[in-house]
Amino acid sequence: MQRRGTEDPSGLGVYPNWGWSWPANRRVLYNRASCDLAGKPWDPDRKQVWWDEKQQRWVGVEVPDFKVDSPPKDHMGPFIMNAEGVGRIFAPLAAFADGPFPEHYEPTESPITNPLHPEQQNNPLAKRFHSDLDKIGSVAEGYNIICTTFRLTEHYHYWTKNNPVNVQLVPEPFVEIPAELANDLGLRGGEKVKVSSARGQYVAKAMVTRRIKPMTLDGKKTYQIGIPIHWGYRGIAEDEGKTALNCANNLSPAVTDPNANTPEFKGFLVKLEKV
Amino acid sequence: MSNLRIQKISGHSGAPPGQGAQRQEQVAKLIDTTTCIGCKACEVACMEWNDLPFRETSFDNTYQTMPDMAWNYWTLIRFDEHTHADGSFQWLMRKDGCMHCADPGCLAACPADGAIVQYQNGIVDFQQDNCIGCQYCVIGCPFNVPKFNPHTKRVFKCTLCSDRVAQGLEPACIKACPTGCLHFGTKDDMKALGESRAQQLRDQSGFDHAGVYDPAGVGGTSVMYVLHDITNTEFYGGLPPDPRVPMTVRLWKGPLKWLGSLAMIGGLIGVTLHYLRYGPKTVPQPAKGDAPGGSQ
Repeated sequence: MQRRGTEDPSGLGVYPNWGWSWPANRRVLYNRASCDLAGKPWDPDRKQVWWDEKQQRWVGVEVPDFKVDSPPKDHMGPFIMNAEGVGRIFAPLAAFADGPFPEHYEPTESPITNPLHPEQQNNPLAKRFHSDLDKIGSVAEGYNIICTTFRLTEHYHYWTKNNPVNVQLVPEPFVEIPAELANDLGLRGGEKVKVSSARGQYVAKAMVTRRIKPMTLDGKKTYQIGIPIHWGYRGIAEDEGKTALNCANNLSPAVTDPNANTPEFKGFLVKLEKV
Repeated sequence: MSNLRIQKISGHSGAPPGQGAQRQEQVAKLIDTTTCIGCKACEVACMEWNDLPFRETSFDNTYQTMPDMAWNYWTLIRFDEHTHADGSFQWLMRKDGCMHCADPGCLAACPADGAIVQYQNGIVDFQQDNCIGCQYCVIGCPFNVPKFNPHTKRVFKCTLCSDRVAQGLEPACIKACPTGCLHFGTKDDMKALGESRAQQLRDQSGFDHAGVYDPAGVGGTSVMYVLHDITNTEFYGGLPPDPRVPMTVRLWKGPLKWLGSLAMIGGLIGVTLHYLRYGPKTVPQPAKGDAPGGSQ
């Protein structure tokens, strides 16, 4: 049975016996920083850990995120994962290509203007390609639906479309479409739809679902659809002529983030029509 | 299978062979629908362990592999999107399969000696070698589980991996489940585990009607569910709230069984009386000279 203790010894909503947090079940990282230099809590009403002179170790209602037998007089810094032992206001210069502070940018294709700072819509360091295929669409051009590509538990990447057992579980590609949007289009589950982006198109059957709800973005009702990626040009369904020979990645833009080089598969703009 | 002792047996006169020779714990599978993610690892494990052949499927506007179980598909996660009256939404997933009832309707309905047995550990198992393909078990099952193979004229269903359990292993689906939503152990342990999980759901997760599905109408089952809402079992792919063995099966195999016996005995008596009164039936002899075959 899972750990579901609802005790909260600090009264601060920490719940150390509910679930488990890695590592060592510490709930608040660097909790040594809740004490002054002498090892006494800054705020006696909100105690987490403290130095116990008798036991010569750090104790508390939480697991100390610290070397437990290091006395305050040694002045070991509480931020144990940083070489300097103190907190950082910004990341070291070389850590991230796009600057020391966390920031919000909209995807390259987005139905709204960046609500945090309209002057800087996208990540200025996102990697872009500039071939004829790398077009970017906009709501003004009719690409008014957000599309996400994703994976299924039943398939692995593009391999298992050749394996009968996996194909039995999920036989064909599909597009998940919110029920409200399907109503607007007069679309029923199982009917074929064409999803188009500025770069390409994708034809598959519609899975009409109430699991995806419309979103309100910047005051406008906006729909999102989802496409599992696991099909392509060869495979059991493809070879039997059951599917259009197309690839979900033809829709998504080849724009990648500057740090992990992850393409923008999770948010781009498309049109949706019944075939 | 030598250490599986038979407790109940279909179409068999007298006590099951070896009854009382050994005591066995009743085993059970507990399916916690609240932690199922619908990954279908159990479906694959079932197919692989039991060597079930590929079955063609088609897209049907759902994640559910196929509309119903099949003779070569013994476990199936049923996916249901349910919107409650208050507007809240749940995507419900229930691993369907044989419930291994303590009072199995299939076994009660089966006329073939030893085609369906219930082991002392609670597993209800079909012995296809003894099956006569009459499909009475299909009628007898309140969960619509047994499935007929028209080519071999035999009926199949989940065995609770009786072959694995006999060797002290858990069923294949249990072994494959990645979220730990499938549990296997003694019936008492599984019931207690299910009840404590239901308590947790009621106390800590706001599912006021969480409970364990172990229907009394079939004497309890060796496959139990933890449901978010025990008062609405039909939300979970039509799980019957109060399953019972059909009355026709109960009557025909119980109080009315003598009618069939009477008809047969009556027939025998009639034949005997006819013989005594009229003697053996004679075939009229052909006239002499007529060659058989009619050649002239």
